[in-house]
Amino acid sequence: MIESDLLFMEEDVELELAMDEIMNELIDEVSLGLCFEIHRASKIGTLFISDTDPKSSKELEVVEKPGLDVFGQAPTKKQFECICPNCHRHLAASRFAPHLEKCMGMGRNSSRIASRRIATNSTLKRDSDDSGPDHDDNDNDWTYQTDSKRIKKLKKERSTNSPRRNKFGKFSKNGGDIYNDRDTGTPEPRFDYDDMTLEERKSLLLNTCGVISEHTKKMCTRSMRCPQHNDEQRLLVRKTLLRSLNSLDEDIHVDIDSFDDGENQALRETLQWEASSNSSPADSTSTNNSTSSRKRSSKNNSRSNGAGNNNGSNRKKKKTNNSSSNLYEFS
Amino acid sequence: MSVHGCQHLSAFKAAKGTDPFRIIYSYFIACPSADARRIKAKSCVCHTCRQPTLRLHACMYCIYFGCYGAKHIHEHAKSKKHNLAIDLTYGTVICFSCEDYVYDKDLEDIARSFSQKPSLNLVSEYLKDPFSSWEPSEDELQLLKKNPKRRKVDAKSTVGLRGLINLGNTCFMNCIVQALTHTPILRDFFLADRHTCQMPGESKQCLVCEMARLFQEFYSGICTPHIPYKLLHLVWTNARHLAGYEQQDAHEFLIAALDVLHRHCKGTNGMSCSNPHLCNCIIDQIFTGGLQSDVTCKQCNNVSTTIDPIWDISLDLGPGPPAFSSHSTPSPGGTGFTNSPGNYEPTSLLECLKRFTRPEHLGSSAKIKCGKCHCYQESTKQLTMKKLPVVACFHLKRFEHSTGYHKKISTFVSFPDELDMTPFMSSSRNDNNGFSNQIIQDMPTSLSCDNKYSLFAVVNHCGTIEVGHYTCYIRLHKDQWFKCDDHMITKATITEVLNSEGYLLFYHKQILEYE
Repeated sequence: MIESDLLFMEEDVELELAMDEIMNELIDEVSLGLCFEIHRASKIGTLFISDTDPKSSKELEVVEKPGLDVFGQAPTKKQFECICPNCHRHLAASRFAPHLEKCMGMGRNSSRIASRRIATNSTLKRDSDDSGPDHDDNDNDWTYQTDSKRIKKLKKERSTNSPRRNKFGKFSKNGGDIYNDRDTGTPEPRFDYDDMTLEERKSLLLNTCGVISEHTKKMCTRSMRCPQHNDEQRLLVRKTLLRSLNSLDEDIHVDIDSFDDGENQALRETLQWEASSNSSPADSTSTNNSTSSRKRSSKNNSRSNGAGNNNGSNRKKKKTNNSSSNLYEFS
Repeated sequence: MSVHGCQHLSAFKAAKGTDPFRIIYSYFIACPSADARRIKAKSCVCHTCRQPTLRLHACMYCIYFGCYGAKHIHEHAKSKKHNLAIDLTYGTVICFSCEDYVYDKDLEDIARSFSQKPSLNLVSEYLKDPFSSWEPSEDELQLLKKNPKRRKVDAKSTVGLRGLINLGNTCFMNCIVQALTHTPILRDFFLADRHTCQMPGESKQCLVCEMARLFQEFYSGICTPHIPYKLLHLVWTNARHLAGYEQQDAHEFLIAALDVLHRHCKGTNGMSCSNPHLCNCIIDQIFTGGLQSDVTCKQCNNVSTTIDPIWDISLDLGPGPPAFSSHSTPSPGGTGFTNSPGNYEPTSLLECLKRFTRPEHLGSSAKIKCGKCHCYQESTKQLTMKKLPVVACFHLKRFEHSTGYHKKISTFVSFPDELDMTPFMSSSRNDNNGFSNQIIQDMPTSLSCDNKYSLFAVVNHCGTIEVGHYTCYIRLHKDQWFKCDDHMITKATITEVLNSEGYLLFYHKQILEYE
């Protein structure tokens, strides 16, 4: 037993020697190849060409510190901007998805919304309701030019408590009678800017930025402080849209002190806030004010037949205030 | 400093041409046939000392082999003034006047033409175009020297990492983008600029081009977060069902993104148009696996087999289905679960896979027409992997949408760093009469690496089924792990990764076969 093992071992030693030799030869050959490779690279100058330069490697070193990311940056609330590929508007990156949904008029809800809108429209037609068929269409994009299938709206938007949006709901609801009065029989109501009365335009422009996009022909429905547009643009759109108002407005002078009912008080507050919006008052005030402005705009519209009275008072008041910018002066 | 050899070699080439090199190379170095190799073995000895040594050199002027180690070739060169010789192992030319090996483009081209002859060895029989690494041309070399700035993925560098801005509930997209941009083979494809756009003139509409740009953004070394708004816009325009501002399922997005990428790759080959299963676009090459489904008739044991292409493997969690008919259910030794209903919840990826590939009894309510018996029979069905994808995506079905209620299953499912898929292959099934894969855990890990996978990305979901947030872990440079939470990227450890909940698991094949 032991002998045979030894015999086997002896054989094994020889085998091992042979295998070692082959192994060594293979290793020698491979390392020779590596030497040639390196030698060649150094000869033709590519040896260290792909190495990271010390400056970059230092700059791009992974940082491992609590509170910082791998680049050594602290998490910032910095706003990144992007341009919507659809409408080419600049907007905050964090708001891009919700914007794009509306901008492209899509989403999982869109069919539901569409069917709901059709349903609403048909009931309204049947009832010949005096409120505009699109009254619940509170999308915050307004078309300047006719585009009947323009408005896409989301159910969830309605439930959001944004005063801006509600404001519009109210406005269009009330604005509806005037619209229908003039245009009865049109099955598809349009929110054409041209069809609005001056009063309507005015009250709309009191609350919104209103600048009309060159690309989409839609009105910006953000607040006066909308960062996308500047005051020149706002002024320009007001001048264009309210030009015809001038003649009416010019002659009417209402003394601000004698004109002091509740709703005008509210209006004044709104204007005061909005006019001085650059100084950015506390946010709570702004919410209050916009609620009141909503009230105002609805009331304002219900009595919209009585031409430019309120407007005159606006002007007057601004003059007294001195803090006003001519942006809000509709002349 | 160049591939133009030396003045001595140039003079030699001018006088005698490259034929001496070509002859020596073809007979003693390339040796394309078995006969040539036999001759080489016999004749490759030093003509002075008669020893078959390593580093044997052949004189380029006359027939003389001499060894380098004992300086016999040096002596020959000195005495005969034959100053050029060829190394017989690698075919490099040595110039004794310059006392150095020299590299010449013409000679290298000849050598390359030999190595590209298909009959050289087994590998090139499969590979029509053998791999050769990229080498800068002289102009490129000059440019590279002038511009020393380099971006390289290495252990200590942030190259390849980039935060992604959340565009409003788009963390599901950010996670998938992170996983895709860190898929090694996909990265190599895009960084090598291998995509040719199939939409000439409107490359802005091509999602594959957008991916290519994304890879450039990720590996540029820029530290500020990237804003993937173009990607979102493209995905929305191309996959309408995903569009809309709301929280989405990352898995759904992954499949949709792969589908759009695959569609935009189409036309790369002729086959893809006629047969969708035979596409060779990069997405299909990387992500498509073959799932074999065997339906066995209980009556006659006839097996009908179908193979479906898959992009991911969706694995059930939660309580298992009703017990499999007793006689064919082997009790898995020591794995700690039984197949009885209710109490079987997989706790590891392997268990999930076992459940996935387990023969399933199709009850009397789901009789299938047997092709052999020609009547409806009860049968068993088993899923196995016919073809493994290069990148395997495992989807743990954590979101349960059964009738009436929706809930998230948050049970911990362990998953390994390294995964061997051999037990779940169709070949394993055939070897062992169909049920071998029930006892995989007792098998020693196979030595072969053919079916082994490494984990490289994990997408996690935290929160409830309605509201939640996705984050992901990605691997960079072999073993560096990072956590990506939208724009925030932090270092992570492998333990952290393996202890995370896991929703989508991305594994990469360790060894790629030639096709």
